[in-house]
Amino acid sequence: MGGESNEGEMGLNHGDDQSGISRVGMPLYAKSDPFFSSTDWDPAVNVGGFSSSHYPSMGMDNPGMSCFPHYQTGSGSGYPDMPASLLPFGDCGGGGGGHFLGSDKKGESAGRLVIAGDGHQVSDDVVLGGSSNRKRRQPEAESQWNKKAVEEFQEDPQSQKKQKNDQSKEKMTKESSQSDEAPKENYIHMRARRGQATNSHSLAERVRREKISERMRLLQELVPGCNKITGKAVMLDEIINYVQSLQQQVEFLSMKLSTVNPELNIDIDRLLAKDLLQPRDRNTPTLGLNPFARFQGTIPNISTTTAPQYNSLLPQASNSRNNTSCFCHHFRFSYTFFFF
Amino acid sequence: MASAYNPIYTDVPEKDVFALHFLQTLSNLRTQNSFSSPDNKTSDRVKKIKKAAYVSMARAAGATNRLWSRSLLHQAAKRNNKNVRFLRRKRRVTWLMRRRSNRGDPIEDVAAERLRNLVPGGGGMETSKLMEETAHYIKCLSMQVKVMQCLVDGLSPK
Repeated sequence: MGGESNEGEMGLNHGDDQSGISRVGMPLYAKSDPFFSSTDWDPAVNVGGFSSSHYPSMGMDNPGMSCFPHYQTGSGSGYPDMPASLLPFGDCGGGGGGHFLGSDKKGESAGRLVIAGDGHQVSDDVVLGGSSNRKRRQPEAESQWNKKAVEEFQEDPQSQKKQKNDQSKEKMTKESSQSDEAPKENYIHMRARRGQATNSHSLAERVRREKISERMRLLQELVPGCNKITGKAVMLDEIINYVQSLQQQVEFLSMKLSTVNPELNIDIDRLLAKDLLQPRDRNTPTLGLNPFARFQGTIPNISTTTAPQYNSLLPQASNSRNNTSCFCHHFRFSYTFFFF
Repeated sequence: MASAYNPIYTDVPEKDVFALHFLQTLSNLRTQNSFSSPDNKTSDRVKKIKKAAYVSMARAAGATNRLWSRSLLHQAAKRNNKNVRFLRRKRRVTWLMRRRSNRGDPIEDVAAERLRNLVPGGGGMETSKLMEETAHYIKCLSMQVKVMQCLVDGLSPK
């Protein structure tokens, strides 16, 4: 994510010797991975421009394992500590110089794990940490990263993330694990989930679908009687029917308004005196005349909820201050009405 | 709403704002000579009242903040041959058309088309934006219906 890339970049600026250490950091994840031995990733495939001279020294057959002694002497803490110590990026200074390097670069390396951008980093992932469960470790670390790095988000272009996911996923075998933690603070950042297609179109499609379903939930709360309905098609039909019925209600009420008072003499005194804007007993007039029987249920509810709010507007309210305010309010009306 | 922090912003003003706007519009309607004359038909008056209702609803709900209200007011102004005063944003039609042609979910497209026909200004929107607009539109419509119902109740002879 953007934040992590920032921190990763910062780490890179520190020096060049950390590159070796950071690559040692890669297999962190590999250690905790029970499937590591069964991975059939091809480390040499995507070494794009990265100084490949380092890699043979790591030992391609079991690169992770060979690096572990380095790391363990440095940190002294086992890998189970890894996620915990990854957590506070700033607090990573574990004791001692060797520790410092190790722990600090833990951060960098983990940060670099998730950095997308150039082929360097991608190949880094691929070569050293291409375990099948790196994906599982990553989201945990990432979700913790994200909590720290959420302020430092930049808008990472989505293509970067997708490219990274593409290449990394191609190398990994698809294991059935639970990594469903797709941390997304910003809806632009989208991580491909395990077992799902990762080309950019499908990612964007998934983002879009989630947006739409979120808004469907919002609409479901608005439309009465739609709590039990599941399924987009039925829900959308309900929404359409509701909008149509509301529009028809407006038309019906405007027709009624035109007949009730042909000249629209909305007499201001009547308005004040008769609680014009307060809902009366709604049930009797509406039930008979409302052709949309399905939505009758809403109208009485509406009246009960809005009546108290309306009481304050009217001069009959107990508060005299309210009286004066709405008198002023209505005075403006009466001023215009006097002309007719 | 279920969530306290709703990133989709769909708040509508209180009922009295709608009432105020509606009554103002109705009073403007009365200034027109053609309205009070006895020889005009009921259907015309009904249409005018209906248009007044929609226009006042669009104004009350934040006239230029929402796409549907903007397009509603624009339509109304065009019909009156008034000058359109507020700017219309340049519609990124090409991008939208390209996106919409790519999306091939038949269930949602059919319903989305119907919704676009219903909600004013829905022709140029993506589906997710359309649904936000629909939510806001539903809220405003229900508020307007409440106001009109109250008005009718108050004005009808007991």
